[in-house]
Amino acid sequence: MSLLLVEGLTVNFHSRNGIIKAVNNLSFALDYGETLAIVGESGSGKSVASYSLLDLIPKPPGKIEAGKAIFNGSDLLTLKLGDLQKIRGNEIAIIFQDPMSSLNPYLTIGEQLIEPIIYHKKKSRTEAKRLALSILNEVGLNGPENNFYCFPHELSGGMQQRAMIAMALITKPKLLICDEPTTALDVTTQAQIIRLIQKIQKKYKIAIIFISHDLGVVAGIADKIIVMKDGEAIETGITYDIFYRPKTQYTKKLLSSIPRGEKEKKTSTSKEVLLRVNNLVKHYPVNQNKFSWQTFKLFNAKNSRKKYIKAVDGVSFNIKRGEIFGIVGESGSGKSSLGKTILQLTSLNGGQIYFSDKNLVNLRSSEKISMRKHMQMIFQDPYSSLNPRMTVFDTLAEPLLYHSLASSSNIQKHVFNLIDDIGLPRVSAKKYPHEFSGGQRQRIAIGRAIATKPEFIIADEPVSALDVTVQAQILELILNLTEKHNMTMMFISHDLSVVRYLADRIAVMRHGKIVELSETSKIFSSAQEKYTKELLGAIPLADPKKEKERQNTIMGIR
Amino acid sequence: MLEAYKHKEKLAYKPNDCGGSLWSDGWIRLKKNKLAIVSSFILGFLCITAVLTPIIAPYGYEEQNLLLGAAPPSASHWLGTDVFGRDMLTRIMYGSRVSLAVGFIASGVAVFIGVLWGSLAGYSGGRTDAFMMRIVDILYALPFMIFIILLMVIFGRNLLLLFLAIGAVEWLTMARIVRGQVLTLKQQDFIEAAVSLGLSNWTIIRRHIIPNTLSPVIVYATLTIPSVMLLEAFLSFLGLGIQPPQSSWGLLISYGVETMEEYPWLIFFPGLFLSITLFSLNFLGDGLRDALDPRASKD
Repeated sequence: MSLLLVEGLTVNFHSRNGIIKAVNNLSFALDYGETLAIVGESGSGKSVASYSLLDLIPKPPGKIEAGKAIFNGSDLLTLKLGDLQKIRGNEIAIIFQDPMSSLNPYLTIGEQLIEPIIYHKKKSRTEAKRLALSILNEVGLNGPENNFYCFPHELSGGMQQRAMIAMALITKPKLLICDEPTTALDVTTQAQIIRLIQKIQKKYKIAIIFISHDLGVVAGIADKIIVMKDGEAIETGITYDIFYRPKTQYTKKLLSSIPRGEKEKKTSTSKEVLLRVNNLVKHYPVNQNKFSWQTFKLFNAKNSRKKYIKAVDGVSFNIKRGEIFGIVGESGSGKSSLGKTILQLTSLNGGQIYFSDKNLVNLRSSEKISMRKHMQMIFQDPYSSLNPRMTVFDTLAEPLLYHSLASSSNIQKHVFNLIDDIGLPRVSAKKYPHEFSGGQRQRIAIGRAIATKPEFIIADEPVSALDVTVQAQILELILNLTEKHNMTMMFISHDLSVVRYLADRIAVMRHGKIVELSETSKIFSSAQEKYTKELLGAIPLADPKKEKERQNTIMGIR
Repeated sequence: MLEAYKHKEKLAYKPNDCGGSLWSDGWIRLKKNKLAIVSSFILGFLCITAVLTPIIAPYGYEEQNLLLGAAPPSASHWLGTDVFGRDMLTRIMYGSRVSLAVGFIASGVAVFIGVLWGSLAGYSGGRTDAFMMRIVDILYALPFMIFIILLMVIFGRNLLLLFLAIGAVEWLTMARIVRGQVLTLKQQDFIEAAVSLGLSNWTIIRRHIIPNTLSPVIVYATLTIPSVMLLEAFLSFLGLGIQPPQSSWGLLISYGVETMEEYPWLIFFPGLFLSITLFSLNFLGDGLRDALDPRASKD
């Protein structure tokens, strides 16, 4: 008999505007030690489906309309709250997407770890602590004694996720629900966390429900896959079938939108250098309390210096006109700071930036404003990059009117042209940002960036907040627009496969320095630096066979 | 849901009409809020009668009828008379001139200075911010009574000065609220996007910062108006504001309290007018806040 048997699960959300079918007639079975991946875009109901098993959806508006979920012989959906609480966190544990917001910032890691053991297993504090230390060791938090007394903010994202895993594992659950556990993490960290989850699964024979929007991530870990769309299970099957013999159009579309390979490279990139960055340095002062004891000491000891984080530490490169220049690095590598420093959104601590042979450093503010017409930025998060109180029309019209590129008489024509360019219906002009999806918002943000017909655009992770299928569309749009308007682009991303698809040349950044800079094909075929190879090795391959092979070689090496 | 969406589409979008700004859209939404519209009519009516009081008031505000004394409401005196036989309706009408004026002008001053100061401080950040907010702290620390008494002593007793003095005290909280809002707004990418578009600081504050601080500003402004009206009554009671035989709602209420048990109508009617005004202000404020927030639309 299987560990979990879900039959005909149907969850509806009753809203003011009527009933939204979040999950419709979902059935699956899961055995001990098996991994089921639920894949779908945001809003497909993949999270709701698994959360409703533990009654963790908001009720109302959510309502479980029908279905059974037999776990270990009892139906989870009909259990009383008290009985359910004995299962939650004890026999079924959850790892959430964002470790920072799922950990209580006021409690130490250790305190949060031993809480479930004391509550569920009725163990003493000392015994609970002993258990916690051993499990911290197991998830690879080195120096468990230290991490035990750490507060969440003192750990990096990857370490926080390890702590979350430790917390989920400490009660020795039979089923682990992982809700996009690696989406907020860097590629290399993602690879480590997935390896950790696999290791633990093998050791304890835990069944896993792995929720993800990324088929590439689940290729190596899943035994079975459910592809969900609009609350329906579109396709269910074992991993190999889904990847190599997809039956439905939608699964094929999902598979094809994973960026693979490189675009057709333009043969004629001009030799003219548009942007020249020379030994750029940007330091951030470490946040010290202004009125700390240190301040008083400063009066006595003048030789004590302020501490700095070297976000950009002596970076030099050229970007040629018409080129797409990729910058790749993990979070904290300084890639975003580099972009913002080039655009003069923050001050810099040293170096020169030449744009069409004009030094951008120390420009007068009037010159700066006229320069901004030629250099624009696309931001990562389309939810915070648009003013919520401005209509699309106003957002797009603002740069045009401000730089006198259009007058109030022909502004409507200009804006409609822009809206056509970014592939939105003209009706959108009158709407506000909250009425759009993430992808549509990013289109609007792109429209705003290209409004002044800039020569140079910096795109700072423009697709990392989007679903895979939307990601593909936005990348296509960016490519088309750069070609149509003959723009040069610096594309910043943590995702090597995205950069590979777009960029002509790639610079790999780490700790504020460029580690390796080369043509895209050379980076992928013959990377020179160890760090680049490490990054390349961490990209999840959307191909279960190759992924298995790679895992075997990794296991073999270690 | 789709049906509702289509319906909305039809309502909101007219061909060739794409000008819709925050304010015109807000006006359209406000018009749909019946409670807010009724409230604004009540407020408008009160304001008009206040302006026209010298013409339409049934009696003069000093006109005493000592023989009558404190009489309950009757046909000749609709809201009764006070202990000196003065018509209450007339006195309430004259009182509304002072109370509404102090409420709106002082709050207006407070909102204007507060929003400007707070957004400038928050947006500039760094030393400018620290300097501007320390000024606010220092003014906070001054007992406002002493501040107002000093103003009165230096410039003489003057109704307009009273308004300004109250406003000059009330803007401090507003500045703090706005600054806090601006600090969180500054983290949002759209401000950085505006900078990279080359907009000037003032344009960014005016177009991107201030509209996004409106919700708390409106709520706080509607709370400021009643507290300012009561502050005026308090100052007048101390002899710093207006003097009898002139009247204001606050003053009428505070006199009414003294004789509450014998002549309840002396407190009931001024209180009723004050309450109606405050209710209307709150409904209108809520309506405005929802109308100016595109995300709050309920349809």
